[in-house]
Amino acid sequence: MKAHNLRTLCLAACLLTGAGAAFAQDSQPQPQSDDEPVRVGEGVTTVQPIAIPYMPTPAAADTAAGNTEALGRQIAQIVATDLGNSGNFTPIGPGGLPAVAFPQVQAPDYPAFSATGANNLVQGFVQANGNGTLTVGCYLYDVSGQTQVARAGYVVQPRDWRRAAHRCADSIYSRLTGEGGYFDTRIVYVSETGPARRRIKRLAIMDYDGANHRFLTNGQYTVLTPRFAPDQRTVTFMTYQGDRQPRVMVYDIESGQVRPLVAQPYMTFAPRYSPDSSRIIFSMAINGNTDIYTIPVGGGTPTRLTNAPGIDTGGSFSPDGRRIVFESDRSGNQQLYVMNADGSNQRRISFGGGGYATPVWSPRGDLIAFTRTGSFQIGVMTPEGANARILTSGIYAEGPSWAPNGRAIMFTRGASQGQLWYVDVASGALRRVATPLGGSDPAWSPLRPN
Amino acid sequence: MDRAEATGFGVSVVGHCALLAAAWLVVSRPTPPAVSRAFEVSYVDEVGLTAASPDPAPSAQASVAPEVAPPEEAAPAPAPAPVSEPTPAPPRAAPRPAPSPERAAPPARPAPPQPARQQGNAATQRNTGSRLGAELLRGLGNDRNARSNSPPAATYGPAERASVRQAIARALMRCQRQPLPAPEAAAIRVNYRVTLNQDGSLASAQFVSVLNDDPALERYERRMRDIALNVINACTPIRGLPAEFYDVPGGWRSFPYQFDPRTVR
Repeated sequence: MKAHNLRTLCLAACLLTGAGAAFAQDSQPQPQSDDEPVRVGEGVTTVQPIAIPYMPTPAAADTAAGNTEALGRQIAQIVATDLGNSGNFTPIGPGGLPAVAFPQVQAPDYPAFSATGANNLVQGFVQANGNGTLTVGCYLYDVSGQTQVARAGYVVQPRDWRRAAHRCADSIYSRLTGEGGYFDTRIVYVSETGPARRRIKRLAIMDYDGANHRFLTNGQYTVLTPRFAPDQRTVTFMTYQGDRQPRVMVYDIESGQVRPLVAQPYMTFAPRYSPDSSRIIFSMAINGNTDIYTIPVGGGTPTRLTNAPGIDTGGSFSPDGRRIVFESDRSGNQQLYVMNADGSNQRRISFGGGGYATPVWSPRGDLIAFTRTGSFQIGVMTPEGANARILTSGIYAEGPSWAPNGRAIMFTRGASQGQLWYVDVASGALRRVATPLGGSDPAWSPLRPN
Repeated sequence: MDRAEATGFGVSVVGHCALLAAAWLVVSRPTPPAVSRAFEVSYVDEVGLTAASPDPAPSAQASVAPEVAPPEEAAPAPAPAPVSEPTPAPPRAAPRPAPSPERAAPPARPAPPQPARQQGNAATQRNTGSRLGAELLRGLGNDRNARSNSPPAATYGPAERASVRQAIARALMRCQRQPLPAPEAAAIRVNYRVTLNQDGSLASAQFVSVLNDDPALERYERRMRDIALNVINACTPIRGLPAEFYDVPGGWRSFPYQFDPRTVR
C-alpha cells in the first residue's frame, strides 16, 4: 500500500513537473520570425536586349589596323554580332544609338539607354598605345540597376584587334549567361570547290565568325575530318594521297609540317585528340576488321581498345579522359557505345532505328552529340543514352563539333557544296558561318590562349 | 476495505488534493504573461501601413460622461453671443479657460468635435462627471490623468512587421521579373540583407547566401546574385513606408530579402 502511494505520488509529481515544463516552454517568447525574408522573384528565359553603342577613342590615331575611331565602330559591331549570334541576346545598335563620349564610357547615360529597352549596356573604348599596341576597354552595365557589372581591358597587337572584340563579347556572354565564352575561337574545316567528281578539298582555318581565313593545304591531296588539338598546336586529319590508302596525318600549325600518325601500311581514319592533347584515338582496318586504337601524338605503338567483329570507329573522349564514346555496327546497324578509356566495360547507349554516327562528347561532359544517319540530322543525348533530341530537323546535317563551352554545335549543312552552320543547343537557333568556298567537316577549337 | 486501507486511502486522497492545490498555485503564479496587453488586430492583407493604434500612451484616459453640473462661469460673453450656432459638439459647452475674459467671446467656431479631449486638458480642472461612459464597455482604462482615449499602444509587432514587409515586397515586385541565364537556374535562390535609408533609398545590400543543391547549376550562381541585386537596385527607393517603423527592432531599416524565381515564364 505504501509502495502504491509512493508510486502514485511519484507519478503525480512527474506529471506535474512535465506540465510545469510544458507551461514554462509555452510562456517563453516565441522566436522572432524576423528571419522570414521579403521574397520576390520571377524568371524569364527570353532573349535579352543589350545595347552596344560605338566605342569612342580618347585620341584618334592611325595604327596598323586602321584609325582608332574606325576600330571603335568595328569592334562594337563585332561584339553586337557575336552576342546576337549566340541566340541569347538581341543586340541594339551600334547604329542608331546615342554617341558615347570618351569620359562617358565609365559614367553611362543610363536614361538614354533605358529608353531603348535594353537590360544591359556594353561600352568600351579603343586607344592606341605608344608601343604600337592597342588597348580595348570593355564595360558591362546593368541599365535598370544603374550599376557596372563587369569590366575588362585587352592589350593586343593591331593585327589581333578582332580578337579583342571577341574576347570582350566572351566576357559579356560569360558574365550574363554563366557559361564559358566561345567567340575567341577558330575553326578548322575542309574547303571544297569544283565539280563533284573532281572536287578539290583543302584544309582551311579561320576565326569562328569566318574572318582571317587561310588555307593550310594546297589541294594536291584530299583532306577529311580535321580535328583541333586541345592545346591548339597541331591538327590531325585523314587524307587520301593519290590512290593510296586513307591515312591519318598530324599537321603542326606553327611550322606547317605534316607527318603520318601511324607508321603502318593499314587504312587509318577517324582521329580525335584526348582532352590533354597527349594521345590520339583513331580507327584502323586490319584484314577487314576495323577497331579503335590510341597512340601518343608523337607516334609509337598503337594500343587496341576494341576487338568486336565489324566496324568500330568515331571514338571521342569524355572531357575527363576516362571514357570513350564510339560507333559500332556490331548489332547490325550503326549505334553508339560507351567504354572506359582502356576499352573495358563496353555498353550500348543508343537504341533508335535508323542509326547513329559520329558521336562527340561535349566539353561540359553532360551531352553527346551525334549524326542521325538515314535522315541526316544532328542531335544530342546524355552519356547514358537518355533524353535524345534532334536539333536540326528539316535540314541535311552531319559531322557535329562542339563549341568549347558546350552550348553550340557546328556542323556541315547540305549534301553537296556544303555550308558551315552552328546551332545553339538550348534555343535551337541556327546561324551560318560564311566561308569563301564550300565547307564541310568543321572542327571548333578551344578558346584561344591569351 | 479494512480500516488500515481506508486510512491509507484517505491519506492518499488528501495528499493528492494537496499536491494538486500546490501545483495549481505554482502554475497560476506567473499568470500575468506579458501578452495580455490589449491591442487591436490589423488584418495585414487589407490594412494600410500604420498600426491601428500607434499612439504610445502608457494608459488610456478614463472615459467620462459629459458634465452635467453647471460650470460656474458660463462665459459672460458680451452682447451678440446669441445662443450660439448649433455647434455639433455638446461638450463644447465647457469652454476653454479663456485667458482674458475680455476677448473671450469665442463665436464658437464649429471646431471638429474633439469630445473628451478638451475637458481633460486642464489638469488642474478635474472633471467631476460620471465615469460611466460608452468607453467603459470597451474596457478602456480608468486613469483620470491620462489624455489619450486610444487603447494602450500597439508596439511594432509581428502584424505591423508583416504589413511593412508586404509593402516592401509589393514595391520590389515591379522589378522581380528578371532574365535567367538558363531555365534550370530558376532553382537557385539568393539571400541578401538590405539596408535602406530613411528616405527609402538603398543604403546597402549585403550578400548573404545562395541556396542551390545542384552542383551542375553552380555556374549560374554568380549571375543569379547579380539578378537578385538588380531587383533591389532597380526598385529602390521604396516610397511610402511608415516613418515610425523605420528604426525599430525589425523595422524596415534593414530586412532580409530573397530572390526566388521558381516561377518562370
